[in-house]
Amino acid sequence: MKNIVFIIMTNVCILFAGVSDSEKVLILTDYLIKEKTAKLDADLATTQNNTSAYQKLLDAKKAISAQARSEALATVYGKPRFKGLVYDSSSEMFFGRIISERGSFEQDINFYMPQRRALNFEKNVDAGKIEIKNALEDNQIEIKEIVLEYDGVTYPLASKYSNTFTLKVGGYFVADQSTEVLVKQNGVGAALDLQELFDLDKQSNILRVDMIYKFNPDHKIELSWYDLKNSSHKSVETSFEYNGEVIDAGAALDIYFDTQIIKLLYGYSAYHTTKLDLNFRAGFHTTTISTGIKAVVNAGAIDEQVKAESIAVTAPLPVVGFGLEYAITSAIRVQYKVDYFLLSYDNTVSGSLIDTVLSLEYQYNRYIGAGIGINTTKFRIKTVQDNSILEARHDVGGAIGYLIFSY
Amino acid sequence: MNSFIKLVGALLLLPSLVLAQSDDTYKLKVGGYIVGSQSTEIRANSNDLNGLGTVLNLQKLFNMEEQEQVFRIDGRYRLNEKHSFEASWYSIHSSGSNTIGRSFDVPDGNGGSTTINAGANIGTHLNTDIYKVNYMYSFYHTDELELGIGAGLHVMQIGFGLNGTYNDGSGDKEIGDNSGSIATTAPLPVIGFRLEYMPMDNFYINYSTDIFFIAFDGVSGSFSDNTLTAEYYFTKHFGVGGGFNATRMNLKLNSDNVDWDLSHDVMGGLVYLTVKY
Repeated sequence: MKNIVFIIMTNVCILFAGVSDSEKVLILTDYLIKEKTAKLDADLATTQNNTSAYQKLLDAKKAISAQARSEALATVYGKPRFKGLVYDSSSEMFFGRIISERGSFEQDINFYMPQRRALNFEKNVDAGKIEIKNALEDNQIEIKEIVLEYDGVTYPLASKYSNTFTLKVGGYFVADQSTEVLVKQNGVGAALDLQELFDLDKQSNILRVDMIYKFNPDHKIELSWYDLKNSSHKSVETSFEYNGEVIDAGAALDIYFDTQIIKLLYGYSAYHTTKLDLNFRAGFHTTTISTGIKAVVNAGAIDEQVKAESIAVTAPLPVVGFGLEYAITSAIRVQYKVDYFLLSYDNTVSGSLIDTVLSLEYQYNRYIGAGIGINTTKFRIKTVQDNSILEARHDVGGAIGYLIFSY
Repeated sequence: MNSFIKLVGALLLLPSLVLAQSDDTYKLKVGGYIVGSQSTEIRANSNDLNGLGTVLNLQKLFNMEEQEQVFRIDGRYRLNEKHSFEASWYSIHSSGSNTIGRSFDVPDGNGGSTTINAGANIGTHLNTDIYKVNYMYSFYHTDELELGIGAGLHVMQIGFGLNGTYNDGSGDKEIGDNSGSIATTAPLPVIGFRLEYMPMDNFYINYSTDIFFIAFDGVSGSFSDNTLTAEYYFTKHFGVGGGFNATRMNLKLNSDNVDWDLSHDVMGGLVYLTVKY
């Protein structure tokens, strides 16, 4: 293997003698493409034109060609360097020029950097050095990651390019849910657990959708939706009257308890680098709870009739919170989000909502990724009158798993 | 308590023994914890009654203080930029007495129950001493922002006592006295997360959370301790801070006849002086 590499490098050196940089790139690109696509060319020769197999081979060759061109550029020019960095505080823009490590490859660049992020670098920034990673692609300079090295310390700066829209679609695997109503007077009371009382499922797997739209690196909106449906089927043991209808013993009784969550939040990125994003959030966490029964009742001359009575409550709670996104590597990141709602009014009404999401995401490429995590939601509302307290508690927690689509 | 004083003492002495590496090698916060609400509830669900249970709120039942101002001290010693230790201590002591206005049953765990009739005159105390010790690893640290994860112990010493008389229908009975009170220590191993953000010079926002989960063989529980504070340093070393702290603990014990649920929630504001060097 070492011999092969030596022969290739020797040939490259001989090929490069007395030619310009641009010619070097073309020669090396052609060499790499030929070497890497030899088998593809052979397959293309034996594949019928205008077939899907032929098209796939052409696409593969195109991809390999682009990769070879990038490798050739990197081989000839080396790592790009930044020169003459200037920060214009009025427009909050960095201006400068990229030069190649070797040769004469140069290109002007400029990128937006809010004032506060540049605070640490503004005064002596000309003495610093910026590295551009993953910069060479298809003969164009694309700044994907910029790192400022100054005074022996490396500062990651914000990326110029980031995905604008992200869609996360997957499952919410609810491990436990509990809805309780408590009535207390002078410290003593009764507690009612709706899941236990109506024999409702505490675990379920449901669809969950999250969307993120970034207006720019600083501002974004997030929308989440999931619908938690629970039901149980029982036979009535003792006749009872419900809302004027007599439900006989032995009648089939269906109970449902549905919770729909819609979260809409605005996020402001207070601290943003390629490694880390800290954002503060505000918005609404809307919970719609629908519950009711469906039963077969005795309706006089009519033997059986299905009745349904339901209660629907929608609670749009204003929440504030923060989010944190930390890139462990360029492809793997950890996200933590927490939203709070706190209410206390005149010592008679108080409530709280705490919604937390912790997730680990893997980005396969710029457009596709996947993630797993946990989500917990705790909701409390309490009213006090004289010495009587009416309290409702609703807790949901479980794992999430999803695919990520970004552009 | 003595061991904790030794620990705090050690933290105080360490900076003088070790050459300071930065302006915040040592940080101490001393001030008040203004407890806005505390709630301790015991709930018993009989397995024969699906989803129905009896709940007792100790603060309401025994007319105990729900709002208090207590002394609190928090400290941090930074070994270097990446590694640090933290310690906290505060103590919340509540007491009260009340004539029970309504009869209630307390399940005995064997399928039976004891009835506490209305009119019982009961005094009580609930003392909670909190000691926290954590190790933190800063995985991201710049001048503006520090993020850390770590682990430690959140030790709760809870002392609870009743004294007085009650009538269960067969005559007056003594509950006991404070000397017969229950004292238990719950050293919970927690994992934590820390965030310290400086949006402008001398002004910091701190967020910390410690959590603990347990679930095995009929026992399940959770604990969370969240603190959000803002600090302003009017000199290089001295500043003031304020914020919010909420602690929630829940423990469930399942048996053949009765499921027990114990919850203890404390939340309130923080006001303190801070020094770092």
